[in-house]
Amino acid sequence: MGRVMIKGGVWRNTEDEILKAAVMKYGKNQWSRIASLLHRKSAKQCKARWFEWLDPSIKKTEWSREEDEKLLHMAKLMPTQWRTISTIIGRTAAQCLERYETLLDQAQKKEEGDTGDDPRKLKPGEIDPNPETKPARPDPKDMDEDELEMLSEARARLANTQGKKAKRKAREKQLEEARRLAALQKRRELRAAGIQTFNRNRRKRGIDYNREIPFEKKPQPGFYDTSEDVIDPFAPDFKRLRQQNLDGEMRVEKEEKERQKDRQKMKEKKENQMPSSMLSNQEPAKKLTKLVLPEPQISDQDIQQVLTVEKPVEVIIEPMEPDQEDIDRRKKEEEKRNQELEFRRRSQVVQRTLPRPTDITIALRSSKSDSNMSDSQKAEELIKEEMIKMLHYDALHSAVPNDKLSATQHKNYLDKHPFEIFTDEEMEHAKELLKKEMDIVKEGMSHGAISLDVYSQVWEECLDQVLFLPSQGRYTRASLASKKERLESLEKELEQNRNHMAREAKKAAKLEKRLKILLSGYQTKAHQLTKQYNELLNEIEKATIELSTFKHLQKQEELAIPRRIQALEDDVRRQMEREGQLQKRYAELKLQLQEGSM
Amino acid sequence: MADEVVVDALPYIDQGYEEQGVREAALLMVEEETRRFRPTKNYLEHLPPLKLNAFETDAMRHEFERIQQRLPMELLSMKRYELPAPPHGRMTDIAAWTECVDNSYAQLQHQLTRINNLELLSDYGCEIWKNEVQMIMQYVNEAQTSLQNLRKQIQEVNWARKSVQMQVGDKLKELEAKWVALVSKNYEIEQACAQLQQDVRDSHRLAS
Repeated sequence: MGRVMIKGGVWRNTEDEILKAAVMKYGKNQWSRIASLLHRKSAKQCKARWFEWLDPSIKKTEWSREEDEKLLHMAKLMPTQWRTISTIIGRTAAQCLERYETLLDQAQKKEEGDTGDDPRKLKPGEIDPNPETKPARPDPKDMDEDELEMLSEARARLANTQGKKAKRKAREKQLEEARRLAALQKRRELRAAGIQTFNRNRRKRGIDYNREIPFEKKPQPGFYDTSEDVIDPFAPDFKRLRQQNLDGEMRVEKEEKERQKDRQKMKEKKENQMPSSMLSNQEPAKKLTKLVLPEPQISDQDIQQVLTVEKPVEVIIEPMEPDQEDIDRRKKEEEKRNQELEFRRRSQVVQRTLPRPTDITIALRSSKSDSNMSDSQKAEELIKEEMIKMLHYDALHSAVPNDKLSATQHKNYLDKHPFEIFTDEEMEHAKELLKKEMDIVKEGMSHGAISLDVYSQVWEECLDQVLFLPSQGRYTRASLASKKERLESLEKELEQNRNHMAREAKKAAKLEKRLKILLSGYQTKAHQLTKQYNELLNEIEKATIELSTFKHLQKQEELAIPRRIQALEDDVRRQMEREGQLQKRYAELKLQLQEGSM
Repeated sequence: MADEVVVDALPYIDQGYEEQGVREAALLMVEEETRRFRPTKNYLEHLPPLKLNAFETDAMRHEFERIQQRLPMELLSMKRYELPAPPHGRMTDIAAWTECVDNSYAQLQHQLTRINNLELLSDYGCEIWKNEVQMIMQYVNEAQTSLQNLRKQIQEVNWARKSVQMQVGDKLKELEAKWVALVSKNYEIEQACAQLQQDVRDSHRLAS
């Protein structure tokens, strides 16, 4: 009977390394296979080692204060549920537990004040109950025989990337491929030689998938022979139809879909930061370019010439049927003209697009007092009545923004007081009358021609007199208002202007920001270029100075060269003269010597 | 002064400028010259006298005075841009209120002008900046070509100097060599003469 081996014990460095390599090869599911590489450890222990220590995602740093606090808090919330706590803290369950206990120990120690050693430190002779969570022990210099053997075996096994079966398969595949190619080559050569061979090696065993369907089950013949049926591919497929297809989409759903689309569109627009003005008026995204036609090959002048030359030859042009296009265009033009005429007949307020009141509140005097009124008063009443009619008519036919009255109200009023349409002649006549009247008044008041300055002065004075009373919501004359009212009005005005100001300032800021983005690129470019230009100018200045200096030097040298040559030549000449003298003297001396010796 | 000293250096053929101490000596001479030099003549005589305050305006004079007194610059008052209400003491003064409202209108108009300007800028800014950049680029190109021209001219001048000096240099060297040869020859002749004289004198003595 063999010795009973209990696996376990402290993890060695070699064991850790083998385990890591094995996990890399076999993954994290085949622990018994991995454990077969380490004969001192069981599968469970290997797994524990990996998940408690070796996994690279395990944090092995010191516990930070925040982590400690979190741990204590969680331990109170979920007592003994270390797995849950560990996921929250981001360390392993064993680490959490151990840290918790150390913390408790420390607290206890502080309370009791005893300075004994750590109770969880191993005493000599004790065995570590969970060695998986401890750092590996370094390898001894001289390893055991069996340990070395284990290491080499593990190395061999881990280095082997293919199993026996995979190797055999690969070899067989290669052989098969070679055989096929050889056969192919042989057949090709035979064919080239004119010998036709048929593929005789028909498969005896197995299924020829080109010929038959494996495990085919023919459908059972039904009650009705369908082979003669003709199917119209475009006939409605009633089998697939649902109630929904017949009814069409429900209105609510359609609405919802459209809304969603709209929302999506708005969102996109917002994301793209499109200015609101683009949202409101639907301008075409792409501006159409001008139509460019090629130059006519025959100019108008040429045609004119041809016509004048060939006048006698009469070209008979048959009267053509008017083109449908022309008819349409003429019709359209007619319509447009009519509209314009119609518009001319409208009141001046509409024609000039002046602001119109949103509410029609002109008090007409009661018709009972007719008899008491003077003629001019009566006329005034008539004018007022006409005015109201026109206001209603205008409001009905070209809507006033923010109108307080509905179209039906306008219609009702006009039904009761029919709006007369005058002919153009009548209008002309009326205008003439008015003009005459104006001239008479002008003359009577001796206005004459008023210059623009005078007019604007009077206008401004009048405008100054117009005062808005915010408390009463109406306009009045400034001279009639009390001081308090005037103050109030001014304050209101200032307030309004402030609001305007705020809005405008925002707009301006936005514009500025946009412009900054738009133009900053150009600005930096211009700045750089200017800098470069300045540097170049500096260099040019330097070069100019240099050039003039060198030119000056050249001039100097031109002067210097002949002088130097002259000086040297002088020297040489002097030396030559001296040589002559010396030679002479030598000759004389020689003569003397000869004479003396003689 | 320049007429008195003739500088006849020919740097392309003369040697000895590279030796130690020559450059320092030259620099020393230059320094000494600058120390000694006194401009005796007003060389700007043909120009009108300087008008230092030709472009000075009242505002500038004021500012210069302020800078001289080392006072900090007055901060721009932004008060009126906030459209303030009249001061506390004059809350019931219609004139003050009118003033404030008028100010607000003025500021609004100013703001409007600003927006108009900004809109103009947003319409034409890109083009204008593009033109500006192009213009500066053109300037830069012109400057570069002129700089290159200048460099070329400098080189040509130096080439001309060098070629002339090299030609002259040969002649000078030849002359110099001739001179040296002559001097040494003369020396030899002189010595020979001296020897002869001695001999003559000896023979005279012998004869006598």
